Amino acid sequence: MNKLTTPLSGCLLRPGGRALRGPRCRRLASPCLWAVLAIVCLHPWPTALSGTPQDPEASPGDARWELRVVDSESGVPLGGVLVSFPGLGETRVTGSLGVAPVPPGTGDSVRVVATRVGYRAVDTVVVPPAGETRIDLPLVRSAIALATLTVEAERAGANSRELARQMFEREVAVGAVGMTRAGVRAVPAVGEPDVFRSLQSVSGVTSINDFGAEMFVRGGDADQVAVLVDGAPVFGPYHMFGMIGVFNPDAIESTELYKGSIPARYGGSLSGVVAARHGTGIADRASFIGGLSALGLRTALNGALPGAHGRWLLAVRNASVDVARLPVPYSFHDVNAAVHLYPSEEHRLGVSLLASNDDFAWDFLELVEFGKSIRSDWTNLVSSVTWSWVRGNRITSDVSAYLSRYEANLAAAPEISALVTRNRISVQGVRAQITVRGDVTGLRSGLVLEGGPVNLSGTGTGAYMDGDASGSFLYASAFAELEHWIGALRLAPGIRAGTERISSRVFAEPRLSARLHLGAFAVSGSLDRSFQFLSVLRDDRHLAPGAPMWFLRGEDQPVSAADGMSVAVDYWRGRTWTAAVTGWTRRFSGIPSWHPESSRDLSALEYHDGSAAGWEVAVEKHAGLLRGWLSYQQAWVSFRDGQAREYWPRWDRRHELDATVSLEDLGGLSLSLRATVASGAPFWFPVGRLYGMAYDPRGQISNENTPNNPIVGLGQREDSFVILSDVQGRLPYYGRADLSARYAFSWGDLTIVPFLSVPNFTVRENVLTYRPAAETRGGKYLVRERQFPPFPFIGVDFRY
Amino acid sequence: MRRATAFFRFVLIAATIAAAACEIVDPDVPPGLDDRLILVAALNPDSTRHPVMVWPAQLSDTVRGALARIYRAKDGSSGSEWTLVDETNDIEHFDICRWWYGYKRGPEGQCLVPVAKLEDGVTYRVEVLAEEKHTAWGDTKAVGDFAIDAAELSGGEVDSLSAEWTRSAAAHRYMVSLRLLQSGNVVASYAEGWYIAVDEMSVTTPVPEEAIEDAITPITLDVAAMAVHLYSFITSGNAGSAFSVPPLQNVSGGFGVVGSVRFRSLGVKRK
Repeated sequence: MNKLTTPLSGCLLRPGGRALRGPRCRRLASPCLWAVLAIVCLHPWPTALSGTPQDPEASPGDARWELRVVDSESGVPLGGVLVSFPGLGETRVTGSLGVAPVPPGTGDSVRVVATRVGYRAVDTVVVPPAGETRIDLPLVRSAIALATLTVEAERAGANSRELARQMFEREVAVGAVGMTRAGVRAVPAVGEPDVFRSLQSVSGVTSINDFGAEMFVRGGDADQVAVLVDGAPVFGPYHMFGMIGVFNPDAIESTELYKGSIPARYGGSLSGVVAARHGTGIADRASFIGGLSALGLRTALNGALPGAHGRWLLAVRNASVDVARLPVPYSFHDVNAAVHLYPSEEHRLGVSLLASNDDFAWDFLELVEFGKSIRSDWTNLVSSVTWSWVRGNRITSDVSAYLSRYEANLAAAPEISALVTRNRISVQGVRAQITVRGDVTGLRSGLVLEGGPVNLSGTGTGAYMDGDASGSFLYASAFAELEHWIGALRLAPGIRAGTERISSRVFAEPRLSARLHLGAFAVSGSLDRSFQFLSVLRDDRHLAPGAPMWFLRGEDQPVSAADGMSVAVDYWRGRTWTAAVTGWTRRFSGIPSWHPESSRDLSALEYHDGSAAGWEVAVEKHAGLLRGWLSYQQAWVSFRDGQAREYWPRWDRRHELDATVSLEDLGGLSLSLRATVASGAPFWFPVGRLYGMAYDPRGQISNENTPNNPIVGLGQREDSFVILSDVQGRLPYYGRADLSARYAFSWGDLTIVPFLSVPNFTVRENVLTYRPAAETRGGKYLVRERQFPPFPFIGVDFRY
Repeated sequence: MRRATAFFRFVLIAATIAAAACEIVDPDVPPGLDDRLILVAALNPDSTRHPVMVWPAQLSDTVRGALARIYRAKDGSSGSEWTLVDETNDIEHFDICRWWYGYKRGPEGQCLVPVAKLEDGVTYRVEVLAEEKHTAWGDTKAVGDFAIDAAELSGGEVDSLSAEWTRSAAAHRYMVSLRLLQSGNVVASYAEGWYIAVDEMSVTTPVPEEAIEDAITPITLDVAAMAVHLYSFITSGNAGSAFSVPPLQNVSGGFGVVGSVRFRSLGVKRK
């Protein structure tokens, strides 16, 4: 190695970073030495042995020599530097030791462009050095560009690969995935593009039926996935009976989903976190995005604030089936607003607002199979203010205050009844955190104070639920996420500890994550423990659409806990492909389960233990004409009830294969397809029907004709109620394919995109559940209730 | 581009085949799914006969050797100790129960009619036993005697009903209605007959025009005093199949309701 020489031309660099001129390097004479060089350098061990964390997209054999980017004054290696090689069409990002391998194909010289927040960009030509495998590239600090660039660095990636990479670089979180706006649109719409339905299509996320946009992650129930917008919790994150998410897809810049391995800064949920961020755009002038669909109208405007350094967003969605002139008493509305201010280079102020409202009565269109007596309405008001202070490249502090109000009513009763179950939540919180980034070690720590009233009550005897579970809670917690590089190993322990006032409980949630970088591969693992104090009360077997009903545990009730372990192998290939294989196992305790049998009393609430395990594989293609992702998951989930009987929760799908592919820009035309094939979800066998009773003043004459009959006014209810057994079965396997076509054309500055989306175009009659036949004629006992029929949605999106 | 479209076409075809090609096979139903009973009984202290309707919870199953019992709480209210008041295993014709409770559809069950003189405000238990079935029982307080003091309709743009009555012990709600004429064989529908539920001993409320037009003349006011479990049973739940939410019930070991109801009527004065 020491005898190697390399050709020279132009500006040269040598170890130490100083430019050299002159004939110190000479042309390599011996082809044999090239061969030796190739063998030695292409072998993976030099990279591994050096302990240098590499960008996983570069395979170990690629680099014959490497660049180390350092601060010009202190000589400290710089991580996170974007190093591009324009002549080769390649880009690298330095790890925390400042090292970026040079791609193969370097000739006598290679042009290098290095950029990093807070430093002046360098565009130079480097000649591979003689006798050295590493060359230093100094960057000069540039304070002027710092603030702007820092803000840009915090922006979520505009494309899926960029976002995935950003999340991957930021921390060790096994199974974290991101969803961009483009990703949301790549999934064929059910009505209109939806963040939650798009997330349902990624690996490791299970849905239980066509009607719900809820996500079941890592063996946990849907309420174990916290939903946040700009850091504030959203308690009613769905519209339309739970069919679509509350987020206006045009207002959300990107969404991150943590599955199981949740960073310590997030608390209060067992299985996952959905963290959405409002986007205020980047264009200099105001821009306008929107759409008109079968559901209604949505608009989003954003632009630069006049007279101030900052940007704004205002998005409104008004959906009512009145658009289709159908007599459906359903409507929902939401408003998203955000302002991002940059009063100075080091400071940023963000204000965020989400307000939503849903209102429906399930008594339209004579949909008797759904019943005629469900009414529900709910509202969210979520706001937050965040102040960020960026001190240099190493220290960032954030302080945020948030408020989340939720009001929900659910009545499963005839309209005459005033019996309604009510849920009222008003949570306020303050969070302060500081992030210190070092070259080898980093730390994020902070404090969270959160509390407020959570009231759940059935009025009198209650309708959906009979009882009262109201209280006021207060959490105080501290968290710390440490990160330390040991060679190619990125070790990330974390802990969240605190106390909860109602029961004076003290909790500690330790997490340990680690990732070993092996060139294009990265092996990650995590161990974690989580607690959850707030849960949704839901009849596990008799599912009712409508508002989720949150309740707070009393002093004598257990807190939900989960212990989990995850292992993943990630693979990054160039800028196009990523892949991951993940295995996980989790153990649950104190999970609330409500199986009311005869009464609908809250006293039927039990706390169950369970376990889950699974593995998944996902491949995603981020660029090119054909893009998309493909995933397969195998999972097992089981719980034990109060009598220690084992059962499968309704989200226990054993196998799930999901593919979302899109063909982009075929002369303005885009096609996208989502196909899912999954094993059947568990269900409880129906056994029969209960015929209810009604008060009916018309029944009196008939009864009066019966001698000695003093019962007047009572009559039989129109329809009957399904009785379920304690015996479980599985629905037939589930298969659905959705297809969407979009065509974009421009009219001046206005881009118009009409689209057609056909869910379940294969006309498969997936089974939602079974009901008992009215009579067992011909031995037929079970009658299917269908899920989505094929139903075309048309709409038009536009942007200006 | 050609490769990409070819691949897309391949995925499209594969998805179609995977999602639609295979026939749906319903799961086999295991035998003996459920051995519980459905029990409906609304005790009326104005009567000594108390019909009890009984069905098996499982479709196409049968009830054999049914026995109905009525117990009285020894101390009248707590129900920690019980005294047997009457029991019967005589199966009456099911139409007696159908007529009694206004049930016109559904499978035929068994009708048992124990006899008991009920005391106002006292807690009673109705229990049903049958061969190879879980015992089902429910408790209720017998609603007390009461009387309607006044009932008056006043005209105007909208007719208004004013009425007063005395308190009924153990009544949770009073169902107030104008007596209607049932037309033909129309299936009873709670949604089509006007009534309101109040928890006070008086009411002043507007009455829809249809309720007065359909009322039998002379117009008669009916007030039904209901115990809590019966009222909850008839005013809760979402009947249906896909999203069936059962009504509030109070039968242990089975399904259904045991409640109490008492009716009073008075001619309405027109003002």
